[in-house]
Amino acid sequence: MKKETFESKLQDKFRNYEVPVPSDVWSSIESSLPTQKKSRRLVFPIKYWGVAASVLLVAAFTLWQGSFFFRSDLADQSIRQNPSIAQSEPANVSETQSASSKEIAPIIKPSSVVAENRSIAQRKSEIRKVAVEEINPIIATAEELDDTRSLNEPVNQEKQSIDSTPDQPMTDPKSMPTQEEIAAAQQKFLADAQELKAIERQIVKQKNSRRPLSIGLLADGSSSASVSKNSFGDITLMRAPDAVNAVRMLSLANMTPYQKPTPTKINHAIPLSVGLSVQKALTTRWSLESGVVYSYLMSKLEYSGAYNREEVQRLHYVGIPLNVEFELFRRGSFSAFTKGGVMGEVNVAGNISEKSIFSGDQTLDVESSVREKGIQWSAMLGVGVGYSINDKVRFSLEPSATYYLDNGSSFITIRKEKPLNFNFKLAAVYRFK
Amino acid sequence: MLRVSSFDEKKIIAGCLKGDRRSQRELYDHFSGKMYAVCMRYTSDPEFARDCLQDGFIKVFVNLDKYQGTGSFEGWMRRIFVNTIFEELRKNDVLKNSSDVHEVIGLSEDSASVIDKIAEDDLLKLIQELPPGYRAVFNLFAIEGYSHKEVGEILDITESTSRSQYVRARQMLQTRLKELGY
Repeated sequence: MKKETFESKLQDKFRNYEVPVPSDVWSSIESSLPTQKKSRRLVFPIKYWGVAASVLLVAAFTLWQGSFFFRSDLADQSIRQNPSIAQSEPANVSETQSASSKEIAPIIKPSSVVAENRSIAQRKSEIRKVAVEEINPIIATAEELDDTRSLNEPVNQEKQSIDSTPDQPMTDPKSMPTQEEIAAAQQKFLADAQELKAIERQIVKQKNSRRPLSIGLLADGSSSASVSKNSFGDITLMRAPDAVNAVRMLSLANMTPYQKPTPTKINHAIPLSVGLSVQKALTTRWSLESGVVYSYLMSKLEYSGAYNREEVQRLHYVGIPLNVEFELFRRGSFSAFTKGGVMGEVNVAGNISEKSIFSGDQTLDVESSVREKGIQWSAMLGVGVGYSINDKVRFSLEPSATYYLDNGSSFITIRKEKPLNFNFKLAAVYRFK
Repeated sequence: MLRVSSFDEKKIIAGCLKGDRRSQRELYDHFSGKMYAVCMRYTSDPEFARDCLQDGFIKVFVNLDKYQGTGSFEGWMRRIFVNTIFEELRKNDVLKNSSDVHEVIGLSEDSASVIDKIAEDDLLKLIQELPPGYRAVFNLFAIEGYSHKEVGEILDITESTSRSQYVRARQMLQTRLKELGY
C-alpha cells in the first residue's frame, strides 16, 4: 500500500478545490478573445437558413390552407384615402355586412355640417322622403307576392315604422309593379343618391377641408340604422330604410328574393403579431414568459347576387400571453427555441371597407368602424429563432400553431373559420436571470 | 457553483477550436473555479489572482490548438496557469526577495495526518501567509508535483535552493498548524 505523504495529502486536498470566481471575469476574457472568424461561417448560415426555413414553413402552411391572399386593387380602392377617388365616384348604395353591423352602436348624432346647411339638409330630407314614399309601396307589393321571401325581421319592422302608406293586400296580379315601374324607381333612387353625393361634396368644399370625403348609404338587414364616419370626423346618421329599400328594390328588379347576404368567397391574410415580452429564467434552458402582443387580422369577403360587393375587414387585437419556453440550442448570439402557452386577447379596434358594384359600373364605398366583444382565448405551440444583443435583450421570429377557442363572435375571421391557425410573431424579449 | 452534469470535454474543445463562444463559455464555467483556486494559492491578493485567471484563460483559448490531446487536459491547463502566474509574479518582482535557506531541519511526517483535519479554505489561508518565495516553491513542489529541479528552472534558482526553501516553507506551515491546534 502506497504511503500517504504530506505532499500527496495536500495534492488530494486541492485536486478538486474551487474558489468562487468574480462575476465580471468572463466578460473581460470574452472582450479580449479574437472575433469568431471560424464560427461566423456557422452562425450566419444558421441565421439565414433559420429565416429561410421559417418563410418556407409559413408559405407551405398557408398554401396548404389556401388562405393567403395579397391585397387586391379593389381592397386598396376601398380605403377612402385618395380624394381623387372620392371625387370620381358616382352615386353610392351599399349594404354592410349584417354580422358586423350588429356591433355598431346606433349613434344618433346630427351632422354639424348638415346643421350649418339647412337648405341642403332640407333637400336631402326631401330626397329621402321621395325614396320612402315612392319606392316602398312597390317593394311591399312585390314582397307579398314573393313566396320565397326571406326578409329579416328587423327589415319588416323598419318597413312598418317608416312606411307612411298603409299596407294594402295586393293579391291581384294586376297590382304587381311592372318592370317599367321598377326600372323607373331604380333610376330615380340612383339619381337621388347622386344628388346626395353632390351635396356632400359641396359640404366638403364649404368646409375647405383638405381631407377626402367618405360617405355612403348603409343597408343592413338586421339593424335599423348604421353609422358612417366621414373623413372630417362628423358622424352622419343614414336612415337604414332608404338604403334597405334601394337594395331590396334592386333585388326585386332582378326578380330575386332579398336575403341576408353570406359571403360567396372568403380570403384571409396570415395574421401578423408583434410582441413585447419579459422572461424569467427558471433554469438555463427553461423560461417563463409574459407580456403584450398586438395582432392584426385582415380578411377579404366577396358577395355575389343582385349586385357584387367586396369587403376588406381589418381587426386589431391586444393580448396578454403566458408561455413556457425551452431553448433548443445556442450558437453565439443566435438561439433556437420552442414554446407553448395560453393567451387572452381583446379586439381593440377594427374597420370594414366595403365596395359595392352595381349594374352600369356604379359603385359605392363605405368604411365602418367595428369591434368584437369578449375575450379571445387561445393555446399556442411554436418554435422560434432569436438574436440576443446582450444577456437580457433578444429579438425573435416566432412562427406558431395556435388553437382559438370559440368566443361567440359573429365576425368572419380566420380564427373562426380555422380554429387551428398559423401565426407569425415578431418579438422583443427582455430576460430576467 | 452550478455544474453542467454532462461535460463533454472533447466536444467542448472542438467547439473552442472553431472559436465557438458558447463552447468557450462552457469550458470557462467548468474550470474557472479550480483555476481560480490555483491562482489564489500563489497570492494573497484577490485582484492579482483575478488578473492571472483572466490572462490564463485567454492563453488557453489562444493556444488550444497546441494541446495534443494525449495527456490530461486539466493538467495542461494547470501548467498554463502556473506559467501565467509566474510571469505575473516576475513582473511584480515578487520573487526577488527569495533567499536560500541553508539550515535544513528534519521534517516530520506526523503533519500529514493534520491535512485531513483542516478545511481547504483554512489551509489556503495558511499557504497565503507564507512569504512569496517560499509559497511559490511550496505550491510548485508539494501541490503541483514538480521536482526541485523543475522548480529551480521555473523560478530561476538552484535545485538545492528550491529544496531548502520548501523545507522552510513546510516548517512554517507546520508551526502555524500547531498554533491553531491541529
